[in-house]
Amino acid sequence: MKRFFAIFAMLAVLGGCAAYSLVDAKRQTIGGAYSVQPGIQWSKVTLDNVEVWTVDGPNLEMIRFVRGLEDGDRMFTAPDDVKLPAYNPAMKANEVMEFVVDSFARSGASNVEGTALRPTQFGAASGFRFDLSFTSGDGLWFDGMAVGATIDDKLHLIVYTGARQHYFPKYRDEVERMIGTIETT
Amino acid sequence: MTSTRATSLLAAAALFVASCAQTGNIQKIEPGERPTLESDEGGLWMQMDRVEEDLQTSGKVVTDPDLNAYVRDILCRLNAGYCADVRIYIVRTADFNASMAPNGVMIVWTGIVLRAQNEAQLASVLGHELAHYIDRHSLKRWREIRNTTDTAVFFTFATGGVFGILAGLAAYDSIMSFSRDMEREADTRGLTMMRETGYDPREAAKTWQQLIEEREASDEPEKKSAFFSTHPAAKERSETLAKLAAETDNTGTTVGRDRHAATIASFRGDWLLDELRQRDYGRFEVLLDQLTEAGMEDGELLFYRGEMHRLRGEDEDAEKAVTAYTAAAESGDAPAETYRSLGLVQWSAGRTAEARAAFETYLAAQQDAEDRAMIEHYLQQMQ
Repeated sequence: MKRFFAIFAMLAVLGGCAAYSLVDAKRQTIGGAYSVQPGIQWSKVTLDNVEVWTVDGPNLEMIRFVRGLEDGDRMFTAPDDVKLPAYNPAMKANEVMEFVVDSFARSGASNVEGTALRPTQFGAASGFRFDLSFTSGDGLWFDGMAVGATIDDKLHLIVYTGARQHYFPKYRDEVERMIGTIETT
Repeated sequence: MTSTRATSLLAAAALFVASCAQTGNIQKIEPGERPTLESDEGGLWMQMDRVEEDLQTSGKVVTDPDLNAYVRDILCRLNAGYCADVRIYIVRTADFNASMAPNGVMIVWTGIVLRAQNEAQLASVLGHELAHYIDRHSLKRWREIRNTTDTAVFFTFATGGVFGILAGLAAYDSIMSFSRDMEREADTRGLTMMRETGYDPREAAKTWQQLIEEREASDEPEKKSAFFSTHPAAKERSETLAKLAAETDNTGTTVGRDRHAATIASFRGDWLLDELRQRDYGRFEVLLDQLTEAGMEDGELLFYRGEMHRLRGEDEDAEKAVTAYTAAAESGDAPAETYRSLGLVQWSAGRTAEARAAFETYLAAQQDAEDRAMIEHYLQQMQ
């Protein structure tokens, strides 16, 4: 039961109670390490290491900007008894993908798969990207994509996920375009 | 949860509250029997029917026809009379669990199918759950608790709420946990069905013993203690089942290892990965040891032993991972990913030449590798 807690409790918080702020369609700095240029307005809320952007609500689609993980950091905030994997700066890209996939799996998602890992530029940094798919606690299918890089020994990730039906494709092109605007500072 | 669903739950809750005066001796359910809608049992069935509707469209349910036919065949062999009354849902979830709803919905986690070393062990679980259905344990439990629980809250919680249908089922299972007497009754009836079907009843006790060994090895003390607090009779049940099995001549009984191994072969890798992702390395290592001792070790199992060492990353784990990956490679039936993982460990250890060789072997073995571009990037970085 508790395994379902982390991700869904977070979504419940994001869906109902947290204080959102508007993200205008102008260049935004993320974690002091890079900036992106959104083409549309998003709503934003921040939870520890993660800045979440959404348009239709986090239960439907969201971008997680995971900001500067250091040695031993977890990707999500979770109860003490939910054992999430810890980031290690020595991880290669395959292991970072494994870290992300396992973090989702430990947070209540099932059938989690990371695929099509390949190198990419993350602004001026050498990075990687991969695709994601998983089912939620309700058994609803989600798709996703992630790009990331290590900047100053800290892991930065942009993870976009959305319900396979309608919501993931709805903003995919916008997210792709925005990823192309990354400028490392 | 939709408002319609919430409304129906509240209406049903009112029905249950109104019917709280019903008591009486509860007989076992007969094959094909259905409760009347006006009864509290009928209401209980109605709610679980709604849960089942959601379950049917869940992405967590494993729909492979061969796997489902295999599990169903065991159930129907155990008791042909109730075969048509029970719907089995194999749910892709790590860990050992199964549950039986009053309306005939049996949930079997893939973690159980993985842990079963043969048909007989799986039959012991299915028979136990079927016995809960036959003896109407859910109804008995429901009548015990309904006067002390806010029914509307109970059903909102137990059927999912914001947490989702499977979490709701887990909550239902927790709230409706059966008494030790009910568990004993289900163990005894399940064992009888095993014996009458020709399965070796001694495998039932082994199933529990394996689970106890696994839990005792857990890296997570709170999880270990939680298991033994919610299953205080685990050791007792194992001993009782062993004693009951020893009371009869088990000559000629079968365990059915080959059919079980062949049926789950194409799923086992995914299920092992599900278990590994729990990151409870102590439990996972015992699980691997148990499968190895049961004669199920192959290249795939050795690969996952290597994966466990690689991810744990404690003293000597890197070398143990290399040993396991090498043994997997030598077995001839290891997945191609063995070489990729070997490359990662060797690279981290500073053995670039060995890492390069492993990555190149991986790419040669996996022509359509989805991460080919990344591995080729690694090879360029090593130059």
